Amino acid sequence: MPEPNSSAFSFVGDSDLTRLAEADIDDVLSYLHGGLKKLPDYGSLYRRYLRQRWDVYDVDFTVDAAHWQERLTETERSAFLAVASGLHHGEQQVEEALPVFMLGATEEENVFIASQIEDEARHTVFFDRFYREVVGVRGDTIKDVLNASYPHLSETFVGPFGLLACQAEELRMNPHDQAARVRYGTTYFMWIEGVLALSVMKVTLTFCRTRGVLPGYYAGFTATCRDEARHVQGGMRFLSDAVRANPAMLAEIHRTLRTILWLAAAASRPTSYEPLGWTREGVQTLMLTQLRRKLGDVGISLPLELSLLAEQVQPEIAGG
Amino acid sequence: MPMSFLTQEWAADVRRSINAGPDAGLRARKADNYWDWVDRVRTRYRWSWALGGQPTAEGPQFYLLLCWSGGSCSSATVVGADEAERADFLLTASHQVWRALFDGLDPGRAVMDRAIRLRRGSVLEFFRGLYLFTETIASICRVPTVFPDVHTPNSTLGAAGSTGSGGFVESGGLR
Repeated sequence: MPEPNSSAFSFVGDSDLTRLAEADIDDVLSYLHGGLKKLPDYGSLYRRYLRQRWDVYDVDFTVDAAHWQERLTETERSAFLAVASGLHHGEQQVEEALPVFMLGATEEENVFIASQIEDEARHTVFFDRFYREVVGVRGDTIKDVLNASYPHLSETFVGPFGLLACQAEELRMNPHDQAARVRYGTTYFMWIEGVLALSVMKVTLTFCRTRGVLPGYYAGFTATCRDEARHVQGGMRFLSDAVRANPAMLAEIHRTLRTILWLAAAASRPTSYEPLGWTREGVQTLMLTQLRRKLGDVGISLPLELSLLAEQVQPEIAGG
Repeated sequence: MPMSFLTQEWAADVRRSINAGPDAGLRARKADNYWDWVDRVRTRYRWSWALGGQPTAEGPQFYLLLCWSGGSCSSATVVGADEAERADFLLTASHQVWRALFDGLDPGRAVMDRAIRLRRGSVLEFFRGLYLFTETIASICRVPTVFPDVHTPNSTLGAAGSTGSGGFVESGGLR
């Protein structure tokens, strides 16, 4: 993936929701990785949050609703939902799991984490609106809509998100346990946000851009991806600092990845990526690229044993 | 004949159900790759689980102690808290959650939503056998089971508690 020039960086970084609808997902991903090389401090990330925060109710889904019925085929709708439902539930899961991470953090970290919790809540509302206004799901509460989209998820969705839920519980019991914080951060920031979410963003946003459909989803989800850039940069800074302070933490990252990659070798049902313009092999390559770039950018090595395990990752698990 | 939840007779039925596994129809609902993973884990599994629950909503807690060796569930017994502490992994779910599981709640979702809680044991090690665990819960919930019929006004499972079937409510055995 080529590095965009500084004007592309500033376009991604400084655009409002309307202009962001013109951004290419590759530029947003390059913006994210460019930040990883410098690893901004938490204060800078918080200032960026204040500048980049967008109003989820500014997204207009009127055209999306028409496209959903008239421009997308049944096969495309089905494939899109199979992938997007993972994000729908994933955003809600991470929103719920994040507050506990504040308990053992510094005040500087907490200011940034608080902004991240607000981001995750906004993303949850974004998907709630998409499922109601575009897909046509009904429900009195956000939970009702989540329940309605749950059947689109595979049984193996619970792997990383169930792991995160248990790690959050572990942190709640021992909030200052640095090894537990590193294991939690590896699951949340590196794998769920850095690999799964960004891979699915690339798949769905490329589909929308190529087909010229779902402009509201494209704008809001590109803004979501820019938010994720801050989260991944903050998360990788945390992991990088933890390893620098105590090299033994590298083993905790590797232990966590060993479990994550072992789980990722199972997929309970096939996901059809072809209607979205992707192959299984293409999505698997995308996921592995995301993982290696995150690790490489912050100087974390991946032992051969884990590299081999990574080759077994099933592309289906990207979308839930 | 359905056995009462968390009794020794029920545990014997549970062990048979776990070792029989899902029938061909149920297996066909999930990908071969997934069952290969579960079978691979089961073959080498050596851990024990204590699964806590209450036969009645306000009754005492008991544990289903499941031990694994040689590729199968080698024992299933109902034990008290002291013996449960010796298990490698101790998990609990409320009476209502167990009832919901027997009524069709997805075991994976129960883990993800913290309805089944891992109380003791290495999180990372437990998750290396996660899908064996969720399939085992599914096997448990296929066992015809009766719960003492305790009426709980705030229960979200009101329908199950209102059948008035001679003091017991039957669940499971359908999946």
